[in-house]
Amino acid sequence: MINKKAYSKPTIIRHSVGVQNKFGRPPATVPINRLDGFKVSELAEKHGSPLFVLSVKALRDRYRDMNRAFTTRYPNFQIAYSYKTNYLKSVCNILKQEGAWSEVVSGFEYDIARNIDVPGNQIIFNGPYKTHEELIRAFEEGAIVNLDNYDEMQVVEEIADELDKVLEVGIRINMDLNDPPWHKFGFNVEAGHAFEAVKRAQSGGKLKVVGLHIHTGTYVDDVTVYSRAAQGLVNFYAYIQEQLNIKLKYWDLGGGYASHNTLHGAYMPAEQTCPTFDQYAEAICPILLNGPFQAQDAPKLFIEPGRALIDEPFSLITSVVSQKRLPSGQRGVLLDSGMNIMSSVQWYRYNFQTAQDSGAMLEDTIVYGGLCMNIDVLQASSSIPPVRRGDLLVIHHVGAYNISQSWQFIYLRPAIIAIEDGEVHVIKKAETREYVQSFENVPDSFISNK
Amino acid sequence: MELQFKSELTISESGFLFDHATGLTYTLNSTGQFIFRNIQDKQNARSILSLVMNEFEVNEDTAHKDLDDFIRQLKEFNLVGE
Amino acid sequence: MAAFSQIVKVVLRSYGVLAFSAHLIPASLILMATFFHPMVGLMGLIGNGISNGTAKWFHANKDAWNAGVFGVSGILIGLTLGMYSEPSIRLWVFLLGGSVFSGILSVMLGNFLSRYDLPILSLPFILVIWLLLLTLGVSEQDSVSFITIPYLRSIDLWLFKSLPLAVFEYVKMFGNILFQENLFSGILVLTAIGIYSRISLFYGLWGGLVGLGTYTFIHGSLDGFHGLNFILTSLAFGGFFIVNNRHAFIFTTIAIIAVGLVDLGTIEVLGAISSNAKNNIPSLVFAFNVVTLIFLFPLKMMPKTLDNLRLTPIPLFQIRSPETNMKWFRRWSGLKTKQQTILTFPFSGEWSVLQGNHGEWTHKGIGRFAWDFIVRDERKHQASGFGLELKDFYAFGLPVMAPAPGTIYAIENQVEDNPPGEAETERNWGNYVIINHGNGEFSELSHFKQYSITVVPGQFVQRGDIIGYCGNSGRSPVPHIHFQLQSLPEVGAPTLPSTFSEGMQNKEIQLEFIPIKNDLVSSMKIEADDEWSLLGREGQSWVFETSNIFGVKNETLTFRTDNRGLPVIQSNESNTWYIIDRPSFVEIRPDFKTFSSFLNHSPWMDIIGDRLFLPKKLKHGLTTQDISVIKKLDIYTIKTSGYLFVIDPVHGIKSIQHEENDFKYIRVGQSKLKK
Repeated sequence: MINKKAYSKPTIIRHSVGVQNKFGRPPATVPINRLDGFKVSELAEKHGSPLFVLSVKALRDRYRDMNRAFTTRYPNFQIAYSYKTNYLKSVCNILKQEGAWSEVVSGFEYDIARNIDVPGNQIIFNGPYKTHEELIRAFEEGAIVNLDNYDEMQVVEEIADELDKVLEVGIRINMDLNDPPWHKFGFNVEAGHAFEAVKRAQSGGKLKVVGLHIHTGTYVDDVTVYSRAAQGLVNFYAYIQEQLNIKLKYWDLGGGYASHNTLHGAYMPAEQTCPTFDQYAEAICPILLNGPFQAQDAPKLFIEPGRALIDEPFSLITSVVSQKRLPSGQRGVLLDSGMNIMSSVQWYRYNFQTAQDSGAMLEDTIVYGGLCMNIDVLQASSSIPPVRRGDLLVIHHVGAYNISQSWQFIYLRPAIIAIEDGEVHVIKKAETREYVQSFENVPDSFISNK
Repeated sequence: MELQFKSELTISESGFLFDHATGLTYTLNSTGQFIFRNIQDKQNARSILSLVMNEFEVNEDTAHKDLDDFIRQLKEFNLVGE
Repeated sequence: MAAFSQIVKVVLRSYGVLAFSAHLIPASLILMATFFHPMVGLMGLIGNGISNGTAKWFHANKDAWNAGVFGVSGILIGLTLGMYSEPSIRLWVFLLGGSVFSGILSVMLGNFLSRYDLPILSLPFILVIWLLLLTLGVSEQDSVSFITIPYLRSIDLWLFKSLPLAVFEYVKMFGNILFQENLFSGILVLTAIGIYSRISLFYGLWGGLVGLGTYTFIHGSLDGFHGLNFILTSLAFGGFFIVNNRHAFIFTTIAIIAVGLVDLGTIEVLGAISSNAKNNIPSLVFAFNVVTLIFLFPLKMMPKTLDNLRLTPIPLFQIRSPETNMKWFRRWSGLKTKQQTILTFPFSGEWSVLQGNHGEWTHKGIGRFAWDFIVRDERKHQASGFGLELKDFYAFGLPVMAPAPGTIYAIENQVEDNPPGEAETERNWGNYVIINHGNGEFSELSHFKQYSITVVPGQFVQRGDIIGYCGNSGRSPVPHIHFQLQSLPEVGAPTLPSTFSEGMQNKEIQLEFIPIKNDLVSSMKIEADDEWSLLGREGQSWVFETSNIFGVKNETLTFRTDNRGLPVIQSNESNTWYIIDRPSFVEIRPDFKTFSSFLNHSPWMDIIGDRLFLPKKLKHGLTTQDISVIKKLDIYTIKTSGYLFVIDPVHGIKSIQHEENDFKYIRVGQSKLKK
């Protein structure tokens, strides 16, 4: 008689699902089924899909953290929120509430700011194209205006005559800081154009140069670029102070601060490469404080963050429409969101997290947007667990440019909600056909009765 | 019914199971390992039951019930299909 | 040229120091008092110059040298050699050598005695002169008058004959501190003391009386009476080296009597020693030096706590006059006197109070009036992540600023930062900066990052200038800034109760407040259009016209920046500069008044200075009770303390009127700043 082995119930134990992979984020198999305390499925059911969700606490926290990082290092500091990144009235109001000024680059954006009662003297008006009327309004209302080119300077001098007073202006300058350098805007320092511009502005007798504006780039995650910009500003200020007796009231380092979205082609994920607010501040402030002035007389420092403030607080809830297997064997999944509302997929490699437990098996998937266009691909290759029609996915950090640059194309644009303190607010309703067509007028002669 | 493992599984002597597709890992006890190897050998559920009873000191009811549980677990983990 | 005038000032001051009245006008009177015998006076002056010069060459302490301390013995050597020895070439050589030696000896003794914070008085003089007189021999001079100017001499003689002896001797005593034996010197010295300090004058007069009495009592008559020791001792203890109060009065009286005894004893001893000489070596100021140092030494050795306040010695560097000493004492002992320094927060942005006054961990006892500041994020954490490294802490490496203008007194920059959670108790202040605000108050900021302090002792800092970076050195488990105001310059000196003059407390504007634990505090935010004041904006001049029974007087005040980049108000009338220290709301208090401004006081400076930032206060709704304001079309009419101001925020004052006086104000117009 063969001795039988002792028996124990057969078991299989799966090892901890939260095991870190090399990139330090939990695998996509971990579902995100709540946003700010609310169940994703319930939000989608009540407000539809796709659905943009703003976490107001996240926005306020990001503003306060950025403000703290800079104000503890520079005694006269002000954040001016870059409206073009996301100009939803609620977003602008929340940031205004937190103490931000407004950075606008067109009459339209200027109007948005004034419409929510931002005082004129808390607006910075930048950009290469400002009309005569817009400029008059800006100067009358006390806004800060940074001049981009000589044509604009000429227009502003005419306005100085019209208003019969000396107008205080800033000068937009650029430096050869990154590759390729940004030469489209402002006057170049290295070529001497910036100095000539300042000199020309002062010598006309109608303008007074009180500020300098520089904007180094977009999504700059190398803080040394900012250090070089700051040093360049200090050197330039020292020079124009000595040569032209200029005393600056402000200097504006513009925006370009990175967020936690990973660029295509980046080797490391943004969680590891995105500098903290403290690192940006540390790279900028000590250099500026070495400028030619007493600490109490330091010019006011402006920065114009956009995505750094608004990317993280927004998420997008989206539904799976269909799935298929491609001839190559790769799986494909089609969503009800497309590039029309997620245009930033051109730059970023987004992660798609499921909002329900879809199992542990990740598969390489191509994620299609819902538009009837072959190029509408949200992600060429993404590891997603098995999902079915109707399953919900959540995409994080979508606040910058997706909404302000969205296309009204093929589909009506979705609703936007904001969550704060356990309350959901609809801050923008989903579009309707009537709304989209509301400005159209069809002459009778086009309506056929033949 | 026939049981079929997904193809990307490997198991070591000590019962450490690795799924190439998901990157997930599992541990099986000796009974579990025995059953696993038999599934790999393309046995069906019925024959596995008798093999278990031959190998281990267990009565039929218990073995039957436990085997059902175990297979269900494997399906839940998406390790087997039919 | 500046160096020459500096030397002249120091030489003059030495004369003042002799009579505890070290300002230039009393000093000039005392200088005059030595010239009734011109040769003697000249020798005194030469001795002064050589002594001071030698001391400087011998690396004398700069502040003490500027105060004139090292010339005292030189003056006395010159005066004595003139009085007690025959004129000869040898005499001049001895004057030269003696002055040089006294200069060197002053520096050496000074270095030694300063460890106990004791003054050198005229000790070097005594040691040198006895040596010299032993060698040279003492010759008798005409001891009655010593005035060689004929006209004055006869008046002096006449007074000597007419006045009662006691009276003559009494007044003569004051001149005796310069070894003069005539009435005029006495009157000049008395006047000099009186100009400088009323308390000193009182004690001088009292000391003279007690001295006369003591001498007469012991000796039986006024023969051979020399009163200098009595006067000097009474001036020394009469509120100068110790704070004036009734205990000091008793103490001084005892000291005067003691001096009388010691002097008589010294004369006996010297008489026995100099059996060879034709005349005895005079006792001079030996008794004064000995008694003063012996009586002062134990007082200095006592620990400086608030328990033994009867006889309080004042730190030497702090001493100006008995009156300023009393002010310092009231402040130091915590009695309710006005805080002199306008304090703003020593950092930028919003920080949190970790520990306040009477704190539960370390702010106790003499250290109870102190604050610890840290930075927290929105989640109330002091660090990002787990706070395992110092660089995770938000406060670490942040700039620390001067809370008020002043001169850096001392720094420590070498101490290593502790890892988070650890604190060292041995060098428990870690790296620190001590700032002397020039008004008897000092700021101490500590726990700086190693090697991060950017200022050096002697450097002048403006409010808000960066002095270093926040660290974790010393008794500091987490990076924080420790701040305290104190009235002594040593690190760890007893703290003074103090308030922050302006700032934000939990997002609200506050004036003169004391932050408590967990308060969120920050400095006022400065907006560009806040920068207007009663005097308009920088570069503008204003002429003020005062008319009274003496006629019309004009004074021009200009609000400008001086060549150091400091904003100042300059008055042409009194030729004074008032440095404007610019916190946002608190009225300026003129800093660094010169002595001439004390005499040529600008009444307009008082009116304007106290209300310079009134317009800004009004703009932010922070008015105090005695102000009533009417605003009409951007013009403010303000009635306060009897004045009526009409102000245009853009252009400054339109008019000022006073209920009682007739002040009239005319605006001169904008003057362009020339670079």
